[in-house]
Amino acid sequence: MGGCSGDYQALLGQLQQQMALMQDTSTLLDPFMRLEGLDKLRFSEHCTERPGAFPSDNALRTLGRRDFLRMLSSTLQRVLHRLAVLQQHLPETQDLEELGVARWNILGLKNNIYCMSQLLGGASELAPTTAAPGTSPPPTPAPDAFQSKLQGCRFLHGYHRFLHSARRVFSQWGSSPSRR
Amino acid sequence: ELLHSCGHINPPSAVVQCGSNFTAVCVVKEECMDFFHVNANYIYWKTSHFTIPKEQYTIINKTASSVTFTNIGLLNTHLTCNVLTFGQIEQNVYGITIISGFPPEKPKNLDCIVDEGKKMLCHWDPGRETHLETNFTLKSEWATEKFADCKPKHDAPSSCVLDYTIVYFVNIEVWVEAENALGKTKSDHINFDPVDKVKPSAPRNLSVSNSEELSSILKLAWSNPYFKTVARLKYNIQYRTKDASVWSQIPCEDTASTRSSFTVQDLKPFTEYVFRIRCIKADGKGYWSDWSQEASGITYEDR
Repeated sequence: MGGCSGDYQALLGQLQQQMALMQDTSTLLDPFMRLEGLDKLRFSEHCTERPGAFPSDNALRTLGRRDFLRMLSSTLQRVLHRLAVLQQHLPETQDLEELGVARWNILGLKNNIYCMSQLLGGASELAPTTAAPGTSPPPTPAPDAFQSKLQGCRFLHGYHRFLHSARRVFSQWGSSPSRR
Repeated sequence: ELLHSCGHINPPSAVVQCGSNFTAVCVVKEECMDFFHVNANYIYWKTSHFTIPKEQYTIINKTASSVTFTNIGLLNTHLTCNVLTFGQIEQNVYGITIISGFPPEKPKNLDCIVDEGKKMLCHWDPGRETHLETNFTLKSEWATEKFADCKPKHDAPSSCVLDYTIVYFVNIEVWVEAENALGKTKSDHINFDPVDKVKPSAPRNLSVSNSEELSSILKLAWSNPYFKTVARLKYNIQYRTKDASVWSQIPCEDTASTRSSFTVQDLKPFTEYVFRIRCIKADGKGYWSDWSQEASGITYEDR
């Protein structure tokens, strides 16, 4: 396989820049809402993150580095599955290009998380099949289309927030790869 | 009766390296030999329409003769084994194709470019002409993902457009494998972040406005490419008077950070100037964009 960068600072910089891009709601939530027509109904107050869907800010900050990386990777794995479900629920005639790009960016982020864990001497397996601790299982499928859109919107809201929180944790990582 | 089935040549076909030696052996069936009252001495070899001198033949036994070529040149021809039967009739026994060429050289100078908004294209120097059908394959991987092989198009054999979404800030490893009938080799691997291989789109909507207060300045404004949201940019701004042909350039240190406007000073009053601008990632990695469309403006009259 391709080589990980052995340069801690460069890798940390890449992770932060990735997340800076991906946390921006214009990359996924906003186009999703436009496509689903949710942006017209003064809808934003309903489209809030569902508690427990993603690890909280505090949960992320209290983890050690390797556990944090493991949490990040498993949560992103869940996001990938959920995005696949979202894609299926989109109207057949419409395609959300940003969804595909987001998928690639998440794979890229997981790649860098893997490299960082390698660099920190972490375990190679990073994506446990079980749901990440501190997160509740996905909601039961919505009874109707509107609820389904609402769930999608709330999920993506949480996704962007989660990336924002994770990026802040990375920004507190010092300049050396010391393990904690 | 043609002697088509009366013998064969070893090897059945041949791809040979230029400059090397090559021997083929023709074996004629005994019943054919008997039927035509001939033996291996009657065998003679031809390449297309040229009979090969007997000095290059070796009689191996009653039914077999070989021919040897030394220091083979460039060949793409047919080698035939023939027998001269009674009545001086030339009978063809068998024929093979001989092609000569070179094994692929190690591809060099592999590099990639991401035209903003498009897929990544990688290109390399394939080395000398092999004169043989040579297949190149561009390989690419992350640490955690192996991507599909990229096969160059026929009309552009030493470049390939990677067919998947390029992700910035993730190191990718890329190399080229080359193979033909005479051998296989591969380039050095290069490992890079695609964000450092971008050729941004050219700045757009360049506009020029003058200033009533100051007749020696013109103010430029433009729209940056989307890449500005990914990485900081720096610029080259060039200008000339309308009738001049040589461009002057704003000092690079003055345009070394992301911006969407600039005031050009020390211009002559009441003079028409033409401007153009291009950009690149601020750390100089990647490629300069194309020049923007030119825009012109006239400085204000002196008071």
